[in-house]
Amino acid sequence: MTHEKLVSLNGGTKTYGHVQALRSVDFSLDRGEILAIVGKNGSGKSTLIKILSGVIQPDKGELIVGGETKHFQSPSDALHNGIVTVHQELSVIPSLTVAENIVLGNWPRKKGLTRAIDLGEMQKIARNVLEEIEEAQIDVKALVSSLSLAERQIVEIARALVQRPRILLLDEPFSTLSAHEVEVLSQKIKAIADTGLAVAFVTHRLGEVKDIATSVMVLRDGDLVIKERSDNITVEEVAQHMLGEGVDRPKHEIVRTDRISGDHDPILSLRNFSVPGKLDGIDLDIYPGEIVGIAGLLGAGRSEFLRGLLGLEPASFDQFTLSGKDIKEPDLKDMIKQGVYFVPEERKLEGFVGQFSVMENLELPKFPKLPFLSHLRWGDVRSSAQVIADRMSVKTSDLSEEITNLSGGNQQKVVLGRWIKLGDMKLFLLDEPTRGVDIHARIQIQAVIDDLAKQGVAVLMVASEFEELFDICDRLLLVSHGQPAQSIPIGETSLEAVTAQLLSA
Amino acid sequence: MNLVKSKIGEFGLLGALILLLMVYTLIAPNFMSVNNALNILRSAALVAIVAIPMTFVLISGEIDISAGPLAAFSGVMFALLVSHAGVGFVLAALIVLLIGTLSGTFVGAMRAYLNIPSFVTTLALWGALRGLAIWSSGGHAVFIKDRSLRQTFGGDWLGIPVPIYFAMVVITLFFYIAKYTPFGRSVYSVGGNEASSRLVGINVAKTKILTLAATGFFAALVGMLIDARLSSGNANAAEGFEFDVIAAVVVGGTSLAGGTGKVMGTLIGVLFIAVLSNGLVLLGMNPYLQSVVRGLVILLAVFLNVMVGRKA
Repeated sequence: MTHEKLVSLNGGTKTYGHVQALRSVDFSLDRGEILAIVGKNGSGKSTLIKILSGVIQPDKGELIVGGETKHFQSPSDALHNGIVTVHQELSVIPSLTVAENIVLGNWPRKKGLTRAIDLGEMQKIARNVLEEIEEAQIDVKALVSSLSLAERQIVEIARALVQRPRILLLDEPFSTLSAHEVEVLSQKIKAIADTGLAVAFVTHRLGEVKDIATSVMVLRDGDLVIKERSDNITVEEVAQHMLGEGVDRPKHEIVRTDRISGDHDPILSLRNFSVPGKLDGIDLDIYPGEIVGIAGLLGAGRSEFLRGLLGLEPASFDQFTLSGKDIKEPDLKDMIKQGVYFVPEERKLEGFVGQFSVMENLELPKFPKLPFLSHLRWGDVRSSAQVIADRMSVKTSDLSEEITNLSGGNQQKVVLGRWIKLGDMKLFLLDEPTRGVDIHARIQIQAVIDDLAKQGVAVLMVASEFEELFDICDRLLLVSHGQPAQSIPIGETSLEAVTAQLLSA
Repeated sequence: MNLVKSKIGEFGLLGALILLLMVYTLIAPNFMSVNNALNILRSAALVAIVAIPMTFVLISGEIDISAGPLAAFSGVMFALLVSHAGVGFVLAALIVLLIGTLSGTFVGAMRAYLNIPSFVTTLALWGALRGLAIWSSGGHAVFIKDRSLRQTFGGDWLGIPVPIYFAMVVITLFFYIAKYTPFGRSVYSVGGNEASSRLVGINVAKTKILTLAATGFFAALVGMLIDARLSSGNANAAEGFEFDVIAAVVVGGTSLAGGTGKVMGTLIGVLFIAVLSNGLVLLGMNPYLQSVVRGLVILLAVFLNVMVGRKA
C-alpha cells in the first residue's frame, strides 16, 4: 500500500460512567482523503473528534500520528501534531476584525523590544489564506460582526488553515449553510484535500457524503459499523447502517392531502410586510392547517421575517391581520397570548435555559401565564413535562437532569415541544426546526409538526436544507433580495427548480 | 471525583462554618456564650435582611452596591419625618419604605429601559444617597425623642434581638419564592438566559425591576431598624454595609455572572462572615488585619465555589 496514513486511532475506547461513548473504534486517514463521519446523536462522533483534537483522552486505544505513537494531553498537543479542529459552534469573535480572528492566538509580532502585533503582517497573512480558498472578496479589515453566518464559517476555516494543518477536522461544517453555500464550501474542502491534507468531517446531511467525501464512516452506539469508500455505498445504505433498523427511506412519508379544508379565513394576512434592509414587501395569506416553508438563501431575510412578525425586528406593513384582528405594532407577549408561538434558530443562545433541568425547560412557557406568586406544585410540573417528553420522544433518563446533558436533537425537541401542550396554538413559527439534529430526531419532529397541522395549526417554517421543506410543506414562499416573494404549491415545483430559481435571482 | 466535588459544594460552606465555630470555641475568649451568640445573630440579621433579596438581584444578572447609603439615607429620613415633621411612626415607616422601593425601581428601570447597567446606577446612588443623608441631617445625628421606638424595635422580643425576627421572615419568604413560585423561577430563568426567557414570554423588565425594588425596600427597613437601636438617624450609619451584603451572597455560592444561587447559601454566607468577624474581634486582632483576613477568606470561599462548580 503506497497510501500514507497521516493519523490513526486503533481500538479507541471511552466510557463515561456506565455509558460507552466509544467502543474500540478504529479510525484512520490517508493523505488526500476526505472522510465523512456520520451517525445518530449519541453514536460517538463528538467523542471521536474530541479524542483526535486532544480535548479528552481515550481510556484505551493507540493514537498514531505520522507513524509515531502520541498521547495528547491537551488541544495544543493536537495542534502541535498538525491536527486542527473547527468546531460546530462558531468561535469567531464578532467584535474583532477578520484578520484578527484569523491569526487569533498566533499573532505575528514585530521584532524588537516592544513585540507589538505586526498589523501589516497580520493582514497579509489573512489575505493570503483567503486567497488560497478563493474568498479574497472578504475584507480582512471588516469586523466579523458585519459578516453573514456563512462568511463567519469561512473565517473560522481560514483560521484553521493558517495553522498549516496536516489533518483538518470539521464538526458539522454545513449545518448553518444554504444549499448554494454548501456547494461552495465542498469545493474548497476538495481543494484543501488536494494539497495533501486529510479532512474528516462530521455531518448529519447524508447528501454531502456522496458529493464531497471520498470515504464514509458510520458510527452507531459507540461502535464502528462500517468504513467504506463513498462510491461503493449508497445514501440509503448509509442511513440503514446509521439507524440499524432496516429503514429503507430516511424520509418520512407525510400525508398532506387531508389537511386544508378551504373554507376557513386565513389565520394571518400580510400585505407589503417588510423588514428594512433585510426583507422587501411580502404578501401572504396563511390558512389553518397549512404548512408554509420559507425558502431562500442566507441573508434573504427569512429569520428576520419571522422575528419581524413578533416585533423582535423593526417591521413595516400595509396590513397585518391575525385571526381577523388588525395588528398595529407587533409585540411578542401579545403574540404569545394570541397563540403565535416561536422556535428560534439558535437553541443554545435563545432556546433553552442551560442552568435549568429538562423538566423546567419543557414547562417554561407556562410560568409567565401563572400568577406571580402562585404556588408551584413540582409534582404537577413534572407530570406535565413528562407528557410533552413522551410526545416528543425526548430521550432522557430523568427529567431533572440538566438540559445541557441532552444531545442536540433532544434539546431541539424540548425547545419545540414546550409549546405544543400550552394550548391555543394558532400559528407556529419555526426558524430552522431541525438544524443540527440527527435523522431520527428530525423525523420525529417533522411528525409532530405534521400532527399539529392536522389539528388546524398554521405553520410557517424556515429551513436552509430545502429537502426538509419538501418533506412536510404544502407550499413554499421563495424570498430573495430585491424581489417580491413568490408562493408555489409544493406539487408544482421540485428541489432542483427551487434551488435554481433562488440562485439565479 | 464529581461526587466528592458536589458534596463539598453542598456541605462545604456549612462544614467550614461548623469548623470555624469549633475552632473559635477553643481559642477565642467568651466566644461560646449566649450573649455573644446573640451579638453575632443581631448583626448577621441586618445583613441577611438585605442579602437575601440581593441574592435574587445577583441571580437575575444585576447588582446593587448602594445598600449601605440607602439604609443610612432611609434612617435619616425616618428620623427627620418623625422628629421634625411630626409624622407618626407608621406613616413615616411607610414613606421611607416607599423611598427605598422607588430607589430600587429606579435602578431596575434604568437597566430595563435605558440599558444602563445596574452597577453604574447603584454606583451613582452610592455616592448620591450618602451625600443626601449627610446634607439633610446637617452632618449630625437626628435624635428621635420618642422612646417608644427604641423600646419596641430597638431591643429584644422574648430575649431575642428584634432584627432576627425580621430576618427569619425574609429568609422563609424568599426561600419559598425562589423554589415554589413562577416569579422565583423567572428570576433564575432571566439570569440563566435572558434571551430565552424573553422568547417564552417572561417579562424580563418586570422581573429585574421587582428584585431591585425588593432590595431597596429591605435596605430601607434595615435603616429604620438601625434607627430603632440608636434612637437616632445617622448619615454615617451602615458604613460598608453593602460590602458585607454582597460578600455574603458571593461567599454563599451565588455567581456574579448570574443564573445560579441559593437563598440558603446566602444565609450560611451571612453567618460565616459574621462568625468570622466576631471571632477575630474576640481574639483581639488588629482591626486592619481583620479586614485583610476577611478579604482573604472571601477570596478563598469564592475560589472553592468556582472549583466545585466546574464540571469534569
